[in-house]
Amino acid sequence: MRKRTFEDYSIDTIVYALLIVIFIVTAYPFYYLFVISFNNGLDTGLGGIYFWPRDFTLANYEKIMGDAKWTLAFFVTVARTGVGTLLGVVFTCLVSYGLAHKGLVFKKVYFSLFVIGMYVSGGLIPFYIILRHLHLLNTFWVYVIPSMLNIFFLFIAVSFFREIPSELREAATIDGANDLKIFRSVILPISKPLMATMALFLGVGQWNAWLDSAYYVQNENLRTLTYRMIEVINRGNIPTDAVSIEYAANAVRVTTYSLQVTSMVVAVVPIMLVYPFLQKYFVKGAMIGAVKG
Amino acid sequence: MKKKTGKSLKTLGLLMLIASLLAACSSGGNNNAQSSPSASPSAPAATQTETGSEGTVQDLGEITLFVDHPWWPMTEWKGKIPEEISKRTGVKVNVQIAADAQQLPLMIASGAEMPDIVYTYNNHQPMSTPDISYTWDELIEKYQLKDFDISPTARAVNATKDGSLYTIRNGFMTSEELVACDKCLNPGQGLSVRADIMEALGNPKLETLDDYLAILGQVKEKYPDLIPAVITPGEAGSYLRIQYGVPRFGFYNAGGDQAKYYINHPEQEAFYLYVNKLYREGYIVAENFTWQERTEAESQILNGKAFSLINASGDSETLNPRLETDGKNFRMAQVIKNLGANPKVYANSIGWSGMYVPKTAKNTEAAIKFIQYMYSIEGQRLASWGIEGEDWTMHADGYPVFNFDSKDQDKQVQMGVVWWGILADKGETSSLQRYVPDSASTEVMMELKKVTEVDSLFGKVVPSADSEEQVIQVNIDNMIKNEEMKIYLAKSEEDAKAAFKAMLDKTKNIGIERLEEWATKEYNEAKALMK
Repeated sequence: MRKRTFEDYSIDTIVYALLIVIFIVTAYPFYYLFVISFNNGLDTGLGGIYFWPRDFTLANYEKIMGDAKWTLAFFVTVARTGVGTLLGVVFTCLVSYGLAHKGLVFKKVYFSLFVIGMYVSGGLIPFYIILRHLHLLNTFWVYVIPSMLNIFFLFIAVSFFREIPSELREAATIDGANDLKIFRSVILPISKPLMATMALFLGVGQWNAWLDSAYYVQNENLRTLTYRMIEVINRGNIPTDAVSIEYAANAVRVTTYSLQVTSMVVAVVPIMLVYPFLQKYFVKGAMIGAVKG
Repeated sequence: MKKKTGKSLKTLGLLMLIASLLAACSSGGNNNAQSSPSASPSAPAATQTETGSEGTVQDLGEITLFVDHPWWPMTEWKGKIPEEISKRTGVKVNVQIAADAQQLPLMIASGAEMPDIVYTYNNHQPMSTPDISYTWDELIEKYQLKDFDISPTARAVNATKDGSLYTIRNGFMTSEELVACDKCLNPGQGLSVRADIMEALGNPKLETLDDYLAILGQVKEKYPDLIPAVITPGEAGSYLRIQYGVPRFGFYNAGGDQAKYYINHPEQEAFYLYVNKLYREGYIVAENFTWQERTEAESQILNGKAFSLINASGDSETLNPRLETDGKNFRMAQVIKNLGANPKVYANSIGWSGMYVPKTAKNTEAAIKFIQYMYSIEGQRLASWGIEGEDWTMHADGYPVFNFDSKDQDKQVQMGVVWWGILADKGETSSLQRYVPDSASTEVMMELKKVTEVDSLFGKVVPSADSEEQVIQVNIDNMIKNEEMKIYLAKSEEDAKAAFKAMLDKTKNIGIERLEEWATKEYNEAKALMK
């Protein structure tokens, strides 16, 4: 084994130092949110809190977790994340497997449509109109159906499926398997890294989404955690017009910064706890679709 | 082979069944009365109680009320007063609060099914079209509503140019009505100071803006850890402009029925230089201008980190109970008198928000009857003041005497009172609610009322959506928001003056003269119509 030189140590030191700085810059804001969420709201207004709570309290969490709306929102968010991720992964894999087929007719047309769809959007209003015509508004399915096909992962999955040796399929066909069985019993088992990566990204996207809950849903029982977080933040914001400011000046002032931050922590922590368990798949998945020799 | 084909067909059939169930669930979900507030209400006839018998209220079902104010303090139709309103009207209300300012415009633009009632301020123009909303007259006629009195003045100020009445904005009183009702008070801006520090300074005179500056100087010298002044975001432009006698927004009558935009008032510069001086002398901190939360200024007071607060007229009454609860040994004192040499409040609006009944409303009968009740004097008093005899009684001098602290915001939310009264408030009810004899806030509002000038015609001077004038006005307002920071934070008075002049030059480049020309024409046309 080659002996490590002074140059090796120097470069390692620089690399580690940079990584530590990046870690602090990235992780500290999250840590700060934790600290503030455990600090008394009024005391937080004084500032000067950096590493630990000055006036420790659980009152912020009691207020949030004691509200039945938040509990319901948690279950709705878990449901949409689970169902949305499952449907997204299955559907995207199905479509991309089909597109990966060498003999697919009009393949170029399909790819062109997907590429255009990836870069060009009709905007919020046409999308809203489509959802309305599909009777998805104000239902749970508005959270999961529009996001069932992820075009970014579609292209990655097509590359992945193309790399699978055709001999595997041929062997299965000889054994009497049809296309669906080949997909289910041969292709999917070897596509676990792909599916895990997809699940990770889709899952995080589902968990963090709030715009659909705000704009496409009016049923209070279907609100998500992130929507509740936005709601808490909105309580404290000032209106933009001068007349409304006068009315808002007399509105209830109960939303301290600590409470808002607590709502952010409650909304973000569950997904942060899940993420490390899928870390290894992310590392493997990062190479998916790369050209293999 | 046949077996395999059969299995595939079964799988395909199962998938199609699931797909059809999904579609069924989505449309079924829309009709699920239990979970969806915009569901078609149970037909009133199906749940109708006895009709015809005196005192029996017809069950009109449910309506959805959309409040287009994300900061609205009441998110549910809950409490003693909303329950009483539902009992008296037969209408159950599901409340939706807007997630942000874009939600309603999105619903309007996309032709979505809208709630039964929309309560909005920022979207009067798009809502006031026949494609989007019913006129109140249409619904009054359809359901043969009696005793739905709409005054000619309210109709004149709220009707569109073609005479259609889609809503009546709340909170509007004519100048004659305001004068006639001496106890009617508009919400006001105010200044409060630490009583203990004032005493320690020897209770110096605080009668002018210069006195205020002098006191802030003493505070800065003797209490270096204190911020001399904190301003609630948005309120510097309100309170201090009033003291300088300049309008805060919109147009004003510059004399000879000439409409000018507020930024062109001759005393605006003096106002900006005063705020700049507050900053240059270190009496306000730069961070103050970055605050987005209304609570940030207050929390400085509650933590004992600031000497004075520029915010609302009732701050001392709101903050002192909280200071007591928190065990703080100081209290706030409200500054009653106006400090400016020529203070003036320009009351140029024709009201604030209004209730609309969209064309896609499912329960229009319940919606218009709910509006009728809330617009009646009984409905206004119930929603704003509470139950007569239980929560309030009328004083011989014509104002309500409350049996609870009507200014306590926690109490308001618990009872569901005050805020729902604002929905259809004609001005008198909510303004009488503010009158509490011998209270500091009442004294401040009375002082402000003395210097209030009402010119509601300017409420009709509103550019149409997407018109050139609207574009100019929006561009000017956005430019002012950015440029005025340069004035506030200028390092010297000369720099502040230069920045102010630069801002005015920019308004000219954007087209303020054209805007004022248009406004003058509109104002005079509105004046002719009112005659």
